[in-house]
Amino acid sequence: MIDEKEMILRIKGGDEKAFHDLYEKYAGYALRAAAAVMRDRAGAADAVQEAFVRVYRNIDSFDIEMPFKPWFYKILMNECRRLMKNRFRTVSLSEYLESNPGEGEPDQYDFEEYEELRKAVRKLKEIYRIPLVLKYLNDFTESQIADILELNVNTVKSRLFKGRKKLKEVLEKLDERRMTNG
Amino acid sequence: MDDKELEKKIKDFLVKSTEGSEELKDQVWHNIQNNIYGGVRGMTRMDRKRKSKKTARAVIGLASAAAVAFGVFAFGTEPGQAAVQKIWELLAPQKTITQELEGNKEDADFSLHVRDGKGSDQETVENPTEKGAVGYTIYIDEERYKMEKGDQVDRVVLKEALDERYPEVYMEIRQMEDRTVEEMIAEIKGRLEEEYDYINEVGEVDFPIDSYLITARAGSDWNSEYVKYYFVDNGQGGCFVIKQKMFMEAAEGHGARFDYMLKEFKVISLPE
Repeated sequence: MIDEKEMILRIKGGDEKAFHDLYEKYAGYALRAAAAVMRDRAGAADAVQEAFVRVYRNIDSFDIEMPFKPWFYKILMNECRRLMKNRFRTVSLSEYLESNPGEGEPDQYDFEEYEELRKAVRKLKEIYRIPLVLKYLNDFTESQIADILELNVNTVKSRLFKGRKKLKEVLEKLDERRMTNG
Repeated sequence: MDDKELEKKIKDFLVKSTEGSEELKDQVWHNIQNNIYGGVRGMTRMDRKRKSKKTARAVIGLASAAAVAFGVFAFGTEPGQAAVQKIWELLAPQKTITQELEGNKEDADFSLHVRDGKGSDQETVENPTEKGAVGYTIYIDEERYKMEKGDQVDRVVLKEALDERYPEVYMEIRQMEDRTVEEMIAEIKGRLEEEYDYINEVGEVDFPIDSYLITARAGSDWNSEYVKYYFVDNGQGGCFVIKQKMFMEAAEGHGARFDYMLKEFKVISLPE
């Protein structure tokens, strides 16, 4: 596969295959990130779809000297947030539940711990959940997250710290329960 | 629990809990293509939830009801002509199809058309049919379009022709009995490269039918010519080449309507 810079230059030149290559490279983890942020797989698919359409339509404005991934995730996160706002305004509870069968199943994984984390991540406020997803699922640095979310780096650090703290409390409580119950 | 362990747990959880999301990748790509290059815009959530089934591009055959008819004829007790008659009896003459066009749903009545391998008009069964021939069935939205049947090619055209300033709009179905899908892809691609500025070899698709898709456009203006070619194996060494011709602005209207009709396209193989 050609390198990313070349790929984007080709897309700018109208090469549709290059656009497909770019999609193949980023779509999988974009879908995961959107699903984790939105807590809704169908909504995540809408967000990724819209994000790629925006990429295609705005690729001319993308500076080829800049890394693509943060630019793309900025678009994607904006789409997630836009759709979440609309969803809470327009989607009925039944439609939401129907399209929201839950996350993947934990096969041999520690089921109890998984369930606790699942509930805790779902409960986390968006301002804590999004930085955690970008850092731990998509491997962005704190300064990249700040750029994507248009926040100060210190704010990102603080939100990551608070998000982690909330999850740590949940896991520690689970450990305590386990100790108590033998 | 130290920070490293916590971070590992969070990472593992996020990776694990989002594993299933990637299943939607192909469907999302399909929607993106339709959105950007034309076709059916914005599939519904229900559409997306349906597992995209990747079936072989080989014989599509006729759905269960007609397969019963083939079973009968496999014993060679009835001629092909009667096979076509049987298909008419087995398939509903009309269907109400819900289409989603530019985000709006609408119901339309589609009418059945059957064509045998000889190219005769099989809305009646007066013409004898060659045994072993391959034909097709399709449902047409007759409120807006009509089927023009020719010797080699059938065309679905607008009932009311557009003004002269608009490029042609039609869907054409042609069977190439002795040419494979691969041969026709190569030939049509060569032709498109000469005629159009932008070619997109999309590859295998499962919407509106299991087929191989190539699209091409002359430009990006509202009235730039835009064509889509679907290649469908006929199961007997040949193929169907289905061409949709329109202009860019019509891609989400007529293009989407053509796709909904094509979704009902089935290859039929009459018994030897």
